[in-house]
Amino acid sequence: MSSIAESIVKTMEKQTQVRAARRQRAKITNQVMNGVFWLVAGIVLSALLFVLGYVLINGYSYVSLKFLTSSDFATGIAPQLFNTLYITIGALIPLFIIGVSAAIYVSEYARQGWFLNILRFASDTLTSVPSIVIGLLGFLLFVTNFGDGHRWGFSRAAGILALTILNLPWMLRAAEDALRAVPKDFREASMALGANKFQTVTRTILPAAIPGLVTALLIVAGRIIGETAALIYTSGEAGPTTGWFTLNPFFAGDTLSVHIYSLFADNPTTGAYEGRLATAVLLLVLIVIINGTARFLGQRLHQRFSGKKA
Amino acid sequence: MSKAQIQQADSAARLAGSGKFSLKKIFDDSAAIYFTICALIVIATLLLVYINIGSQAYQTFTQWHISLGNLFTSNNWDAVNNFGLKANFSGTIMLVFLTVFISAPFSVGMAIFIAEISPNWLQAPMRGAVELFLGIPSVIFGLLGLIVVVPFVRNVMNSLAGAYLYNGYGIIAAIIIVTFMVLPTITTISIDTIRAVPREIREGSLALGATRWQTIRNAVLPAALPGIMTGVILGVTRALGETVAVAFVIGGAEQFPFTVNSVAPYIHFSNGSDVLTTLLLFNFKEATNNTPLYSVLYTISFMLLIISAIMIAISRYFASRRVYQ
Repeated sequence: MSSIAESIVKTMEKQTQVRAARRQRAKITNQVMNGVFWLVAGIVLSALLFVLGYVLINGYSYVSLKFLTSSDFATGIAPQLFNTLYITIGALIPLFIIGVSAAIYVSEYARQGWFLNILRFASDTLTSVPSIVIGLLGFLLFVTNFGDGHRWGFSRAAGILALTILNLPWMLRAAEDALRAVPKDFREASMALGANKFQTVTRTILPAAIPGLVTALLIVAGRIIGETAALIYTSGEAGPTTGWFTLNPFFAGDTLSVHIYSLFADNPTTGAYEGRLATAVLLLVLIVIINGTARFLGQRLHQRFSGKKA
Repeated sequence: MSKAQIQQADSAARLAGSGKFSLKKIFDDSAAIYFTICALIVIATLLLVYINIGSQAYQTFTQWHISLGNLFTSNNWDAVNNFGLKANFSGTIMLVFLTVFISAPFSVGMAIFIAEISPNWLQAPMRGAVELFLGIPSVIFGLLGLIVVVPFVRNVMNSLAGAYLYNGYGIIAAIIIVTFMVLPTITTISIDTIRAVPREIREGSLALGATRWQTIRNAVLPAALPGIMTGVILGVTRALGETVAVAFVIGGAEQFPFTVNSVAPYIHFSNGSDVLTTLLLFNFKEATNNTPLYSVLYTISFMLLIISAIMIAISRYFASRRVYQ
């Protein structure tokens, strides 16, 4: 009798021991994995800091007033700054008009159904198109004509249209997010006061969504400024160094990012290394400012509508 | 009033209402039409891309009589008569698979760290850093690859081989660069999906005595897996379509990314190879209208379009399997 009781007690003790050991092991694994995640985060973050730091530290000394104002291919960047501004603003105008209108359709008018599904699939598929393919499409549509000679040639207008095609789905998505962030109560209140759909959209939703739409615009602007592959065969790899200070849309011109590539591809004997790094510094600073502003605005908007911190 | 009278009065009133000239209503209706047209433009843009690239690609087979099998199986590319894409295809496949294979664990780890482990004060800055990473243009990555990665690969490979065999350009440098570029794409999407997992699931697991790692492994990650897969697939499309950053470091030569032979170190990585996108970038300059090269380059573009569309279909499938939005 007592031997049975003893064996029961023994088994229970053993089980408790096994459990304790298992628990101990789980705790140790937990600690180890914790460390692993901190390590991974540290590695990724230092990689980012390395990218930013390397370009800025090595390149900032090459940025000078002379570099910013000269039009020379390797040692100046004035035409590229002008072209970047021109092409960015030029592409943002059609993108904003079409993108925001389509987003209004999606978030305010569309019903769940086959048309919305097709639209979403089209937009998703369009985001996946490689930008070099859009570049070749732009070449086909705007730069040359089949067989019988040229259409516009390499031109800012061709670049602008290629960028519009490339970024349309991104603009749609970002604008849709901005519109969806406006609380439903706004719409209901407006409708309850007897406003029709158009009045609700223009007088209630759009004003409330302005900060979000500005964020969307900035996100897309950042993408446009950084785009290279779509522009090489539409607005040209290297633009003319004289006569560029013109609003003529049929004038060829390379942006800052294309300039870094063309300094690599053409590789002039003097100034290529310095020119590339200095252009990269300017590009990086621009991108960081634009994306930082977009993020700041986005957070402010989130706080305003949700009443809590992001 | 009888029922019929009421109906009559009602329809008369409606008729009067609809006949009334109302600027407000006209605005409302035309706005609805305008917004719908803008939505149609998005669909039309996609058709524009596919139809134009597709019709150019089609000429490869009708006008130049190059067979699809020839493109895939031949290894010989001279940009005039022979258009074998085998080497470029294997380059692209190697690049895409290896970059995603390397960066996915890091990305998911980073996402878990930001969403689950990091202290509250660290979350917003970490997220901001990842988004900043996402916004860095591909030329900058390419430039860094040229200045930093290519010499690094050259030194490491030559010291491993024990002789000066490698110039540093080629698939390895490209894989390193694109790994960094794919990382933030997968991370941001993974963060969103992990955040979308409801708190109750974590609390339930912790209440049963699980440690934090057990909770992450057995409760959070399975719930977030479809969303993470969406991110991985989008990473694949980014690696597939990346052109400029790869162009800086790939070297641009139509040969296999590596060769296997009996001489140590047995696998020789080529000094310079090519992937499909850089092939387009490098060769398009020389292409002129009414040459087979021109059509073949559009055929490659169309292949990239098709592969990307398949990837998006897969990612949408995973997205539809997401339980927590």
